[in-house]
Amino acid sequence: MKKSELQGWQKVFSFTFIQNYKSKSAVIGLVLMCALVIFSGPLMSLTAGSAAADKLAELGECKIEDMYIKNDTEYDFDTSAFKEEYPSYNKINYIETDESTEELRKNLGEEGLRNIVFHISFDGEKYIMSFVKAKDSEISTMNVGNFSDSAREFFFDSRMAQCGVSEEAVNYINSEKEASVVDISEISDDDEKDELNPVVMMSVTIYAFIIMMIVLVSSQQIAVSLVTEKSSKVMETLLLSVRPLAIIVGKITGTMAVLVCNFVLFIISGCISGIITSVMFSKKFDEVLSVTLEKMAAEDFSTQADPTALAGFSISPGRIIFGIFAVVFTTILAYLFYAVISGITGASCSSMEDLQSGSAFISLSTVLGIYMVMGAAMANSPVFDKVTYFFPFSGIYVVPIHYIFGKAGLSDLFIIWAEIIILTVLLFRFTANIYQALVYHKGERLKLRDIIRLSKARKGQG
Amino acid sequence: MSLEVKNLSKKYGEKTVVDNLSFEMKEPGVYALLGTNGAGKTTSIRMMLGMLAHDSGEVLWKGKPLDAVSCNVGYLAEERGLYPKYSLMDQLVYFAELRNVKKSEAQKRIKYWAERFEVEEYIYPGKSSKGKTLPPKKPEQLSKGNQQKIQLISALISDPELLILDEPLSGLDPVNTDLFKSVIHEQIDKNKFLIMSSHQMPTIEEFCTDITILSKSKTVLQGNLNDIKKSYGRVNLFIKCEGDILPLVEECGIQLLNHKETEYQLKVTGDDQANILLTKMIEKKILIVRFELREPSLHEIFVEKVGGDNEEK
Repeated sequence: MKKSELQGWQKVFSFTFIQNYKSKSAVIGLVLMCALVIFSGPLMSLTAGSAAADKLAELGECKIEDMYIKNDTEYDFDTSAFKEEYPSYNKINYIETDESTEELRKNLGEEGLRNIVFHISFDGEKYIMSFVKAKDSEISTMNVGNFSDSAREFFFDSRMAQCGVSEEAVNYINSEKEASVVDISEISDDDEKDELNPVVMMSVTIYAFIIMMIVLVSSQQIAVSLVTEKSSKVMETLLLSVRPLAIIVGKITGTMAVLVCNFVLFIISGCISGIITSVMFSKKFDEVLSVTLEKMAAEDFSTQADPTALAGFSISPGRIIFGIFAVVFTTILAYLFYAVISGITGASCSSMEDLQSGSAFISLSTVLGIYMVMGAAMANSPVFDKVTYFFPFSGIYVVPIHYIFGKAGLSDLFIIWAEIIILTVLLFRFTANIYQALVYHKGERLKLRDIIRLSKARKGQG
Repeated sequence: MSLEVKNLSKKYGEKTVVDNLSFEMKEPGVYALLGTNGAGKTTSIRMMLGMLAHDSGEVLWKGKPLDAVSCNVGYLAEERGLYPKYSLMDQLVYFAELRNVKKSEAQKRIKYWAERFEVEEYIYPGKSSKGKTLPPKKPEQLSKGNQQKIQLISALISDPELLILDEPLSGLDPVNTDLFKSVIHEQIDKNKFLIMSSHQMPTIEEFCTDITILSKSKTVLQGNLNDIKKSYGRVNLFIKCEGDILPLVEECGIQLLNHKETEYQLKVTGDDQANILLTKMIEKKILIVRFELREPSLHEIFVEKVGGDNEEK
């Protein structure tokens, strides 16, 4: 590859870049995405705000006025102690009674719409706590449910205390028991089997989705642009002034510049969103993000969200900074890798119809990578994790994020970078060798074996 | 000597597509590259411009290897190509910038050529009857002829020293054909070097001084057009008369090529044979409207040279 073969790539670059922003559809899409980012902060804040309000309602705004307590067990339910432990329920008027439950239920007539009958009994095997409210009661079921959780916990603790069992002993009894069979070959000093952490998984999913979108959109853009130039015969006019390699380099860098600019615009939109959120809700954006992430993790993975999930990681600032660099650098490498593949794909096709089948490799390889990452996360196996790290189609999605959270090491990062760089350079050299012949190709789409044959023939020509 | 093509060859696998092509243009003018479809004309042009690697040979421009990236060359490709969605102004400026023409200069030249080819409405925004600004048309909305005009503008925009025109007049109406011809004449007057490839032989005869005819990748005829014609001699006899001359033609042993009512196309061995026929016609008092003895046309030479090869196919 000679330097002169790249002459003029800057002009192709600027044309690719400018024309992208002259396209109405691209600009409309960008504006919509920026608007989405800007409004997502306030929207998430609203959602998080309503969740907080719900919680407040659960705790503080209890509508119960009178609570009739009928305790048929030998253990006392000390309402004064209960009020102390659960101050949110101290406005309730607790009335201990020996009346029959039928009689008590009669009291829940029209005047008892804010009253509850609380009956504690023992059936020989278990303690039963039942709560009865009026038919048209103003008290919500959720309100009663929240109270019942607190009452149940309090009753359990009082029962233990009355039996002379300390809190420590209770914790000791309740501690989890686990048995596992481990193959000795799987044990090493630094490989500890991590629990599936929803935050890591969520981060990997979001990052993988972003990379997949970048790869698919940009690859499609480059390939379509090349096929358009071939099918509209512009290629011949271009080749008079620039070499094929300059065209592909200009396109790849131009498309990358568009992505970078769009990314910067999204970041700016994100900052605007953060400012709006802080002004509107006096709530820090990262708090909103944390609440939302917790909520998403709890909903999506059916795991109980750990409020300390985000704070639970002890990540050093240095690791975070290098991790961000690793994320950006891996994204660029992934983009370049797929851009070169899409260059070959576009050049091997003569029409848009051909391109649909020609793009299958790009789509399949991205989907395969994503499935491998998800599979590894589900399997939670260190061996499978390593396989996904070192397989280039999956490693790009997972290694930088795992590095930030301390699951992957620096060596894993360097290995995946080296793999992608070597593959990209090899592919680029291969492309440089055959590109001239490919851009003149008309007719049926060239398959991989045809392209390899072409490359061999070119090498043979010296 | 300005343009020299030496032993240019190209093979695709085992198939030779251009075999040892050589020619030279010492003076400015128009050189014709002729041949049947698939003879290797476009491949030769692409190799000359460095757009396609050649297996052997060299192309020299003013004694140095011709490189279209560094030399000022204009090229009207056989397959016209424009981006279907981008504005024509953007495309033309882009093509000009690729040829190292500054944007401001490119815009001036575009204005000149747009007026010359009467395509301003496709390049610049127009105004509706209500005074509203209308966007210029997109290339996909242009007729074939107008697309060809835009394409020629892009070839001329760098004011090239060497202009290569591949089928410049195909698909044009008579008015636009004359417009294109006037532009080509203008370029000749400016002492430019032109290489033209066309299947329209009268056009080649009108412009070209030297020709190369390719057939099945090989050069079958090459040289100055007038010299080639002279070498064939004046053997084509065209007669228009009132009366049947077929018995006389047979009597003189002249070959009849075509006969339509009062018109006869004959092939003679030389001036003597034509004179004998003319004498006999006068003796028979046949009224002669036209009696023309001329050299073969380029069309006839072309058919003679490559017709046999095509029949073999």
